[in-house]
Amino acid sequence: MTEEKIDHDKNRTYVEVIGDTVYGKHLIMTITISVSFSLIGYFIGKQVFPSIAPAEMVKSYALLLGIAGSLIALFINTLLFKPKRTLNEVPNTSDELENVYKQLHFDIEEERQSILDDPVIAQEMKEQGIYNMFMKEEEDKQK
Amino acid sequence: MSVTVIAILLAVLAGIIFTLIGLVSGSDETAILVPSTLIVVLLGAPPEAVFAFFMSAILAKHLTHAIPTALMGVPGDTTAAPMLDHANFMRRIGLPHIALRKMISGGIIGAFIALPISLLFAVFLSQFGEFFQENAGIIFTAAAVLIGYFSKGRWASILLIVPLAMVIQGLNLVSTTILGNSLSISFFLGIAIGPMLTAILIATSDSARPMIARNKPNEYKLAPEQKSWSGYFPNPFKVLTKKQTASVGGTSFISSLTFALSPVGMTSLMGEMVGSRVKGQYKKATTSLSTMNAVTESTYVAETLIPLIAFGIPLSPVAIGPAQALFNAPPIFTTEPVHNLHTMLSPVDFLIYGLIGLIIAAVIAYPFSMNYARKATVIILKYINQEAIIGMFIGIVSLLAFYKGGLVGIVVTFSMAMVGGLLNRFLGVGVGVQFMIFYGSGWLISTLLGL
Repeated sequence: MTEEKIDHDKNRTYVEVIGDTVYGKHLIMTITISVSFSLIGYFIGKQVFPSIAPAEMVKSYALLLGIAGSLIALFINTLLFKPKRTLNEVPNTSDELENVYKQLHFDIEEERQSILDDPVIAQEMKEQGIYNMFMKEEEDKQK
Repeated sequence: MSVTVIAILLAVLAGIIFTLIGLVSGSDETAILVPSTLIVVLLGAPPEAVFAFFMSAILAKHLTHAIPTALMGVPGDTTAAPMLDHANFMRRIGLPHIALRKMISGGIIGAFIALPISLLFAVFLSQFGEFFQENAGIIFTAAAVLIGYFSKGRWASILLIVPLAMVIQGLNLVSTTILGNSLSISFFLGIAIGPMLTAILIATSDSARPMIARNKPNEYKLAPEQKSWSGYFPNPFKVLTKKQTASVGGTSFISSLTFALSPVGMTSLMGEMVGSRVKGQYKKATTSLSTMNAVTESTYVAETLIPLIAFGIPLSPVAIGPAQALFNAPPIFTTEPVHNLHTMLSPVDFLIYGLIGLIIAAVIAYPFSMNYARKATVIILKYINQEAIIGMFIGIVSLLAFYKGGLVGIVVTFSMAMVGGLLNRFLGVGVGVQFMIFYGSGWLISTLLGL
């Protein structure tokens, strides 16, 4: 192993594969585990089923056993490694709404007007308990 | 066991599995649906049951892919990409749960509109079926040019049609020489997992790794739910306003009549058409989202049903992608000669078993997404690592390739994945173009070079 690679491990460098971050080494492990379990399942099936199943179904049953193998591998892999993501559950403050609209270059006044103009939407917002979030700030502003 | 019972059981299975898979953001439809459908076909399920399985799978997956899209701002799959703007707005103002409710309620209505409409249209089109079948080689090649022109690669996609067809036929010749039969499964599994394999290859190459290296793990923001809905079974018509229901109905109807346009394209087109007429951001976002998700459903259903019923050969972006295995799952389903669901089922069968699939998926996925969306997302994000998911796909693909063609099958699959994946990633030659080239390659090479 080269020094550079050891360095990589210390820094815990991630790689992005189809939209999410992973460790290269863990990925090699999970692929190895998954491929071998799938194929081993299939081979076991091909050895065992001829004695208990009709000949034309042997290959299909073996395939099923292979799939079972890959599911077991998924389970093992889930236990072996932790996901490399961080989850950020920021609470929403309705006060920020006006700010958000400003940042997105939308006009909050126009938005309020459009809600007031449309009783169906206003009713929907009231039912969902968000009507005040849009309107309350207007009162705040008027103070 | 009667065919109907098997169909119901398989639809339930698909409903449960794909409800869960939909939660995994970025899960590629083709890479998942093709192998799973193949498994069902190869295990000897009757064609009616295969169809019910597939319909249940696509509806369930589409209903739950709205969850990562709305709650995390990560597209559930490619068809969710056009919805990101509006979904992100709803997330920014702290109302992702409302975005989600609107999306899946639109989706479920869209699917049920699309089934009968596209079925009728397909029956009308089927009188032209023979013409399409006889000229399939030319049509696929022309489609490759057309889709290529509109793909990200544009001219690269078109320039590479002949070379890629040559590579495919070359690989095909090698495997046919060794095994005595052709390995089309390996080719489309290879094309489907190409993008995933390429990312893995880049990670293993010292010179390429910096392209995808990251210093810190991906961060997902998940806004807290402000209010949960009462009752277990929400009524989609009550979730949408009357005007929204009308837009959903209208756009679903129109998109059920299209079968040659890309679902992503239709989704953004219809969404913009409806959204641009609405005033007020909240209203615009919720109306667009419900409409767009309805259109992804209806185009999916229509693009599967129309080519399947009318022509029997995969002539739409969905048919050459996720629905692939309904057309071609040798030796059971083949397109040359046409011997697949097209010849095995009547239009009435398609209606009955399609409805079975859709209803079962709706019963499983709809209340689940409405009630447990947030909890499920947190569990997946916290406990299931991406490595395990990628590992499982590679495992399943290897298993299927080995099942069909032994070691040769695996090597051909990964050779195809390498070529297709690199072309896709670096030159923008899309998966759809590659599938078209694959189908046209036999005709193209024998006409050009006299193979």
